[in-house]
Parts: sequence; structure tokens; C-alpha cells
Amino acid sequence: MKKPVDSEHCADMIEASHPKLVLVGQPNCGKSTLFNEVAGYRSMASNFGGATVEFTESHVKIDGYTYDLVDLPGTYSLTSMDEAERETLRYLVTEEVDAVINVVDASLLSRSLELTLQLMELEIPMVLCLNMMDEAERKGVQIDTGALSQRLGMPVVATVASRGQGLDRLFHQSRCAAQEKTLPHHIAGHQDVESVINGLENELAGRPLPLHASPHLLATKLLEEDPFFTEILGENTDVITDKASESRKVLERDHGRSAAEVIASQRHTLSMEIFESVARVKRPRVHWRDRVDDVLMHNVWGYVFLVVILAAFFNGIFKLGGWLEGPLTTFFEQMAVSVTAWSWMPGLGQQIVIGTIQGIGGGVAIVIPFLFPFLMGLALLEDVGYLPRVAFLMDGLMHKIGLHGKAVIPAMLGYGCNVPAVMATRILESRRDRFIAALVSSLVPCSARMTIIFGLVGMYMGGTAALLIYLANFIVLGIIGAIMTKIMPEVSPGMLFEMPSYQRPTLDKALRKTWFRLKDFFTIAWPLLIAGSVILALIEHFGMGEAINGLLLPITALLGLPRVVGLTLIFGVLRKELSMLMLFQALGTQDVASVLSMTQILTFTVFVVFYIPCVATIGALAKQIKWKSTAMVVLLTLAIAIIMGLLARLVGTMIW
Amino acid sequence: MSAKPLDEIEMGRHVNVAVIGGGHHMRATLNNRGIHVGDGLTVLRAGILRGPIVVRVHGSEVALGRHMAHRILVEAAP
Repeated sequence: MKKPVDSEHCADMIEASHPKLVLVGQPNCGKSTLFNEVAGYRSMASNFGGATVEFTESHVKIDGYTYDLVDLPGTYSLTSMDEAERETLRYLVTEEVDAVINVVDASLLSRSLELTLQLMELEIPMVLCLNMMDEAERKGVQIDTGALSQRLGMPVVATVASRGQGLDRLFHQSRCAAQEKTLPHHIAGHQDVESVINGLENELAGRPLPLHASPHLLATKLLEEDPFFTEILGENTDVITDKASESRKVLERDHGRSAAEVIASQRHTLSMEIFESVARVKRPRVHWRDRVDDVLMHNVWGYVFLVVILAAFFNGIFKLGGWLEGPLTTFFEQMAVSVTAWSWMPGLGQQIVIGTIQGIGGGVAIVIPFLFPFLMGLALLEDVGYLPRVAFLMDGLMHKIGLHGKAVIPAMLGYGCNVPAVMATRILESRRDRFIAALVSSLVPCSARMTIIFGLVGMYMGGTAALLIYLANFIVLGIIGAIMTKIMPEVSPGMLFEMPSYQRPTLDKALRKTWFRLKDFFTIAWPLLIAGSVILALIEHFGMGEAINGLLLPITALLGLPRVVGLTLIFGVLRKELSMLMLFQALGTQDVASVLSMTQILTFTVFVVFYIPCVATIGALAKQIKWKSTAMVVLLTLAIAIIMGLLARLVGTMIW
Repeated sequence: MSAKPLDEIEMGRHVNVAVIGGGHHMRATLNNRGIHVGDGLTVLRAGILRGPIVVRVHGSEVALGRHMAHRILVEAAP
């Protein structure tokens, strides 16, 4: 074995400096797991690529040394093809970075080396972290880390981040690399390609550049016509742009392919060649996990298991939620009632306090019984690696509504709460996909709307009727999706995702992810919920209810509902589950059936299930798909709700 | 066997990528996932209702939507 590039002699580093280390790697390489292992609960690891679009930064202390550690979004290459890649690229060429830790899934070394080669061109001190060594071993991939280190000119550290193995050594090596500023080797490709790059590089050298990138990297990027770099350089450097297009023509003429293709294929050849010189691939050990997919992704059994797993999942949550919700609601109701006894406070003040308590209580009554168990369960399914299988199974069906399999994740989250669902649409690549998925997700009946479906239709017409509402909703989602596809045809080249190996989920990893998603609820939904409740209290206090009922008369009359129902619909926009509670109040009784006909109960429920998303969801939509599209979603859902309400009225009059 | 689109290959067959159709974006996306012209693929399974094709390539499993799979021409591995 050759002697690796290793620096054991820099241990007495000045402790005062906090080197900035940046984690870069392809999606699913265990980068976020590594980050969480050393930094605690701040980054979301996922068994489904593309989970992190924003980057996370943290001060971490390892072995007595402090580091400034940054977790950048997973990226396959340093081209600026999607949002995550652009973010990573932008960070690397604009921020001061002391060392890059390139995290690699050791079992996928040949593919991962292409990113490594690109990172090396940044000319920043680097360490290669060969992560998931256990997985590599299982797949029969043996790597000579010493030879790899020699070849690349950087320390190579084998790790199993999920078990904390090798991390001390990784950070020690990174600290040394940062301190000694040792740069990785320059690995040259073919002579003729290299000379074209060098020619352009000389053109660039000596010019003041707005980026921390080496002239070599810039030259390569200009030849590849990477939009990120051409935009930055294109403005006042006409000479360079001309020279770059000249060089591109040379490459195209000599190789008969576009310059970008020539450079990409050269990088691929180099990676394969390095891989073959340092690794041996034996026959993989066949593991039971490899057989699981033959059942779970089977064309028949796969769907049987999908239905069984999802039914058990939703059932469990609804049972648990129903059991927990009662006592919580009672607690907050009593608290609100006790405020009315505060004779020292004027009525308006009391109303505001009550509104606030109701807003807080409403949030608690959704989060603890429903949202937390739901997100936790989903996180476990995700960490096991089941969700990509769901995406596989559902892809054919999802295409019928113009989305691909990946969109099942936001859609499923929607059954818990629409807010994290809308936020989760960021995993989709195109703006069109995000819009349709956001529209669909905000029409999915969330746990708050579930309480209405079961509290009204379930209560007076039975559980089967309640389930039929879910089914009707599902069918409508399909129709909406199909119509949207006609209006906005699919343009993306299609779906492409990895099937990760099944993993044993861990409780703390699932908790981290749940917390990460609950944050969307806490920061977006809850404040709006509280504000909404206070506004409602004010409406009540100033007796504006009647005016609002009058304003909404066109809708209530059209649906054949009593005039007093109008106000409850406004309440429902502020907080979905309130529309039922306020219905009790407006009608003056909990026994709705004594005042409303069955048809009216059905119509009311159906309308509430579909119409305008709650304020919190609107907030999330605005953040995710911007205000204009949000306004469209609001209008569309209102139109859909009116149509569905009329249908319910028609069905009701036919039955009863 | 002459070159055929990937979505027409039977399950379990080993093939080599001959041509990657589509534009620059599609080629780059596939390259990123480790699929290049000349690479060997094993077709593992295909979803119903024109669902995705799952292939094994360089030790990882990748699911490709039908549209994408259709634009990849492959030939029998030697």
C-alpha cells in the first residue's frame, strides 16, 4: 500500500482560530447524518435526495477544537442545473472557506469522483470522507484509501457517520489541511483539451475576478457555458466571452461534440480510471434487504402492501389523535371560560385574551394529537427508505394527474397539515410541478378538516359516509390534476431518483426530521392562527357578524345554507376546525341535526373541505410559490368548493 | 440486438447505453446519476401504468420515468 497524504504533525494548532469547514457531497451520501452527528439537531437528513435546499451552519466542538461547520445542499456536480446546485456553487466561489470536506458514499465511489474532480479545481484545501464504508463492504467494493489519497493529493478518511466511526480522524485531518493550506493535485485530462483550457486560463490570469475561483475552474466553466459563470463574467469582459466561444469552437471541431460534452466525458473517463486503479469490486453479498423490493415493489403485492401500510398508518394516527384531542380541547376551553370571570378587565381586553388562548389552544390541539404523530410516522417511513418505493408505485398513477411519483410526499404530508405539505413541494424540480403539487396539497383534507368530516358527516351519517368524503376528495384531486396537466403540459424530461438501500430507522433521526417540519408549523402557521383567533374575537366583540353574514349571502343562499352560516366560513379560513365550533355557536346548539337538514350538513362539510386554504397555508403558499400563484390557488379552491357544494346539495336532495 | 429504447427491455437483462437522446440537460442529469454512454445497466423492474424503470448502474439503483427511459437507446451487453 502506498503512503497516503496524511498530516499527523499539526496537532499543536493555535486553538483560537475556528477554521470554516464545508461539507459538500452528492445527495444521500450521509452528509446531513454526519453533520447531525457532530452538530446536533439542526440539519435534516433524508433517505430521499434533494431534502436540503438551504444550507445549515453550526459551531461544533470536537476533540477540544471548535469549528465553523457548514452543511451545503447535496449536489451531483458543480454545474448550476438546479436550485440546490446553484446554491452550493455560489457558496463555494463567494465565501471564504478554509477546507472542503467532500463526503462520498463509498459504495458509489466511481460516480462520486466526478464531483470530487470538480471540487479539486476550486483549489481549496480538501479532505475526502469515504462514508458508508459498511455499505460499500456489503456491496463488495474494496477501496485502497492510501492509493486514492496519493492519487488525489489529499487525506482520505474512511467513516461510518451513522455510527460516529472515523469522525475524530476526519476533523483532525480537515483541521490540518486547513492550517497547512495543502492543495489537492491538479489532475490533468487529455493533452488537447487541457491546452484549450490553459489557453483560456492565461487569458483570464491577471484580470481582477469577482470570485474566489481559480482561473482554471473559470476557464472550464466558461467552456461548459455554465449560466452561473457566464452571467457573472459576461457583463464587462467581452474579450473573454469572445475568446471563450473561440475555444469552444476549437473543441467542437476537434471532437465532433459540444465543448460541454467533451469536458463531461473527459471527467467521466478520469473518474473511472481513478476508480479502477484504487478499488476492486467483488460479488456483492446478497442481503435480505435486496429481496424485500421483490415484494414491496411488486406489480401486485407492492400495491397490496402499500394499502395495508398506509391504512395502518392513518388509522393509528386518527385513533391516537382522537384519544388525545378531547382532554386538550377541554383544558383550553376551560381556560378561556375562566377569563370571563376577570371582572377587572374590560370586555375588549377579555376578548383579546380569549382569542389568544383559543389560538394557542387550537395549535396545541392540532400539533400534539395529530401533527406530531403523523410527521413522526412519516419520518420513520422515510428513513426506512419506503417513500421512494411509494414514489415508484405511484408514479404511473401520478402521471395521470400531471405529476410524478415524487409528488406523493407533499400530498401525503397534506393529510397531517397543509403547511409542511406546501413547504415540501420544494423537492420538485420545476416551477410548474411545484404549483400543481401545492394546489393539490392544499386541497388535501388536513387533520383539522378531518375533525369536521368526522364531527359532522361521521357523527350524523356514519363512518362510511365520512370515508366517502375522503374518496370524493381523492377523485376531485385526480380530476383537478388532470385538468391542470391539460392547461400546463408537462415539460420536464421526467423523473429520475435513486432507490436507496433500506436502512434501520433511528428514533433521534426521525425526531430531528419531525422537528424540522414542525418548525414550519410553529413559525408560519401558529402565529397566523393566533392572530386569526384575535381578529375573530374582535369581529365578535364589535358585532360585525351580521354584516359579514350579509356579505356572504350569495354563497350561503346558493348552497341552500342558513344565513348565519356565513360567518363560520370566514372563521374557517382563519382556522379550519373553527368553522365547526362556530357553527355550533351560530346555530346555538351542539345538536346540528335539530336545526340543519342532512343535505345542509353534507353541503356544509363538503364546502368546508374544499374551500380556501387556511391563513397559515396561504402563508406557506406565498413563501413557496409566490403571491400571484397563491391568489390563483385561493380562487380555484373557492370555485371547486362551490361546484362540490352544489353537487353535495344535489346528491342530498336525491337521497333524503 | 440493435439499439432499442430502454423502456422496451425485459426485466433482468444486462445492456449497455448506446445513445442518450434529449438535450444537454437530460444528458447532464443522467451523467450526474452515473449513467453515461457505454455504461452497463441491469434492468431490475418496471412499474405498471407506464411507471418508472429501475436499473442498477455502478452499484446504485436508479428509477427513471418512462419518458426519460424511452430516450435512452441501449444494446445487449457483450
